[in-house]
Amino acid sequence: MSLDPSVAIEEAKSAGADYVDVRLVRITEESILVRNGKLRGVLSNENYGIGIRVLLDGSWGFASTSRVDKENVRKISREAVKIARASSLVKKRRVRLAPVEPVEDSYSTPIKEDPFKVSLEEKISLLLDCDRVMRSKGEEIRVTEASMRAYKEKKVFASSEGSLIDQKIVWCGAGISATAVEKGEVQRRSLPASFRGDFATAGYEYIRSLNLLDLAPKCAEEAISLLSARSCPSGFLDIIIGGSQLALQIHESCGHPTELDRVMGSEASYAGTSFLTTDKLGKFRYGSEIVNLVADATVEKGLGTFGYDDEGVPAQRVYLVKDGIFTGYLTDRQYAAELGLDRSTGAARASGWNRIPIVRMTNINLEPGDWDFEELISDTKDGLFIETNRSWSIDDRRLNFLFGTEIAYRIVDGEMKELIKNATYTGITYEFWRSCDAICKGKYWKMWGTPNCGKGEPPQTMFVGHGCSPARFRKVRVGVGGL
Amino acid sequence: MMNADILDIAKFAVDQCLKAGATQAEAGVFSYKSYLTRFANSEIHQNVGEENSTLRLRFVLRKSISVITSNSLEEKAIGDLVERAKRIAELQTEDPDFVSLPEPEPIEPISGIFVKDTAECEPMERAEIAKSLIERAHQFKEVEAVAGNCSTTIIEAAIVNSLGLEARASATVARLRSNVIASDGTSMGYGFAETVSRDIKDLNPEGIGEEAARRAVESLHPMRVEPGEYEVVFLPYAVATAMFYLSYYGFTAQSYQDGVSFVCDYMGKKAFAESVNIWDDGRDPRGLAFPFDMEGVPKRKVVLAKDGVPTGLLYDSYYAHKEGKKSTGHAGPFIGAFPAHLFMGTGDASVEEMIQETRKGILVTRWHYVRVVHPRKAVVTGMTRDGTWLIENGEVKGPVMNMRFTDSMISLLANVEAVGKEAKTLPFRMEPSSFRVPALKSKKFRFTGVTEY
Repeated sequence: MSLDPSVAIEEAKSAGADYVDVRLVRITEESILVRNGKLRGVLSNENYGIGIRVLLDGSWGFASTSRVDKENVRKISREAVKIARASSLVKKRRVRLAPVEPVEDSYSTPIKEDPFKVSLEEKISLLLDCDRVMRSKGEEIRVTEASMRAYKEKKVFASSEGSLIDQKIVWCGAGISATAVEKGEVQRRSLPASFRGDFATAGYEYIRSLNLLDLAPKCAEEAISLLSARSCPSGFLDIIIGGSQLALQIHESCGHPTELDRVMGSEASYAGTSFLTTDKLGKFRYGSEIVNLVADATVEKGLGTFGYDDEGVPAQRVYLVKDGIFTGYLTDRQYAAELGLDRSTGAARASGWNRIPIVRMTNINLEPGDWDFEELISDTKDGLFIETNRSWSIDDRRLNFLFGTEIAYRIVDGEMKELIKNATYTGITYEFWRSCDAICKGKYWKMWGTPNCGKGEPPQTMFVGHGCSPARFRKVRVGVGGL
Repeated sequence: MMNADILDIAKFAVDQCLKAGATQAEAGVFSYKSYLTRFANSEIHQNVGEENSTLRLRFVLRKSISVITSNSLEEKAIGDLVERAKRIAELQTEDPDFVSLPEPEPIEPISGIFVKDTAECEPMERAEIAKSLIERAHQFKEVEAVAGNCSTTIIEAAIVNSLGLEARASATVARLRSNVIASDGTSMGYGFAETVSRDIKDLNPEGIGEEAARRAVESLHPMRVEPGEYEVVFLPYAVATAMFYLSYYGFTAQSYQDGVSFVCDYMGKKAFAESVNIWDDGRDPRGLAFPFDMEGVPKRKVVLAKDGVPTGLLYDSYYAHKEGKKSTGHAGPFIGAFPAHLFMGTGDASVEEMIQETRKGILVTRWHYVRVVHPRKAVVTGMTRDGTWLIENGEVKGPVMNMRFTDSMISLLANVEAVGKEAKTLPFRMEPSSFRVPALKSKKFRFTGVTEY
């Protein structure tokens, strides 16, 4: 981070820019994958560069480079201005930015044990042990995987408005999975969550807390049991959704549709728009009265927790849905101004130096309710408990969704009964959340980390968090697809 | 080394690995210059540029391998990277399935894959293309908002390994896509069109603007049809997405060897209608051809399904060696093979003829947000998008609200009744990958839900 960002700011200003911000970013990543008893790879990645964003006459330009020497940075700064000039060829309105107080500050993820300083031997050994335990559970286990990932991002944000912010974000996590195959049937089980596990802004102490080795026998045994389990019944049932699946439900059906850039049409050419149009703000019944959803970039260990967003706006806690009513958006400075808000809700995030900040989720959390989990099961007459995502799909305005899960249990007369495979459920977002009649207490509430949220052109992958406890939804359509 | 040729950087890195004690080593240097002009609400709202070069090292110690990447190409940084790669490799347990990095093979260059006009395209030229597209779309009075993007990319790749393999190529890609929203005050309609070429001059913004706008206008006032089993006519945009999911989850060696691919049940047996022919060919200039894969292995044509029978798989060197075979030149950026240049054989029907032959069916422009629900059964779910119509008695009756489908692609392709006589080249997100596919008609496909627009 040796380059003084003012080099870029001054060059862009002298080339005509009205506003400039500069992000110098160094990302260090390590991922370890053990597969079928073999260390399949330790991938290590270092990535460093600078991104320069300018506003000229109300139009945006952005240029970025991995060659961070003064001469090239000046050239790239001028290129950003040239690009902004081209943008103004097709302009209907001038971009305005909601105000932000310039600040000089720094922020670091609080960690106890640096994941990059824990020896590779120790990490590999843990993953190999998990893999061995899973493979020992039966011949049906065809594929086993145990993986771990650590991420460190050092970034400096500087703007022509006078902000200078230094941040160090660290996150890590891990997961295991077992795939059982028999007579043409394939079943996979993943713990603590699918798609490589669970992640948090924390140090290696978080990976230790996952107790992966204790989860390994259960993971393989459940995969084998699922092979001979009954298929998901088709029809309308009450469903209780476990935390890791509910996290993705929140992500897709609340997080994305409350991104104000989508609402304003900015993502129409890729991810789509949103049903939560601005005329619905403060009025629309999104969910039942017990549904409270909050965007909270300040929550401890959340994968979307930081000090400042990538426009220098401080991390915030904002209600998106309060008592079931849709009340707020995730914003950046531009779209906050367009909506007439007096400040951004601090959700502008870029996946690296080579991408512009766009509106992203931070941590989108469902506030806890007042049910004990056992009480919820015993209160359910005919339903399913479903957990761990297997597939997810939702339309481009975030209304019609279909999720598949790895595991489910039939609930009959208040008791969890037989194991169910190939569970799917589908619905329309607001009808689904309006059917939520019970949410478990705070003691069941947990943050889940999703490190693979895709959005934007060119594509950006962002890490976001979702806190929730299990919740019940009434009369949901299940067993779609005849599996 | 910042200003050195990327092939020399790769050679230097391999040399350093060998000096550090590697038994084998591979270095890939990938250099990108990429620009994307994005528009929404009929104006340019994002406009970005990026220059980046990445070094990917594979350091092999007997059967232990480490993979390490960095975008710092200074001599000292490469030295540090090699040391780190060595340290990681030393900590690895051996992988008994690893045999060797790929042996060198002659690589025929492919002419015409680098176009100077695309490489030198200025921001104003992309803005002019956006402007032409938007203006053409707005000639339809119902058009409310035009979104899309125009991008130009230069990709340079050099791959060297210690067995003497050396590969180097440069290519350009120019892309243009548009999503158009139409409104008449009481209803909204959505349309899409996309094109790709080596040459920025081929993009035809007016044509793309018109195609997307027409579709949007024709989508106004959609009716709701009930989910169920329907005949389907898929335009090439939808077929391309289907081909990707079918191939990535079915026709790759890793999915086959793991037993999770539907091909495990169908290799050499009839799975699809006889008119279904699928192959991957990275050298065919009708796609975004590129001469070699991420390991520097020359791309080979692999017939995946011939006359409805699955016949082949895509391999990288690791999964090929496990079966005592040679890589087919499909090593991707991740572990295992990647279908990068998919083709589907054409038939003899026009889309109009397919519609005429349909009693009750759905005409679909695109698949959206597709996910695999059950890989061994090739069951996918997803939504239709940007233009969906009901066909009755050989005629398009009118637009319908977008529908969710959940069905097996095996069944979809087993029931193919007609294949389009013209194929369209379409881009895949990961450049330089592409599809070249026709429209197709299948006699049944299961729709399981409907949305509100």
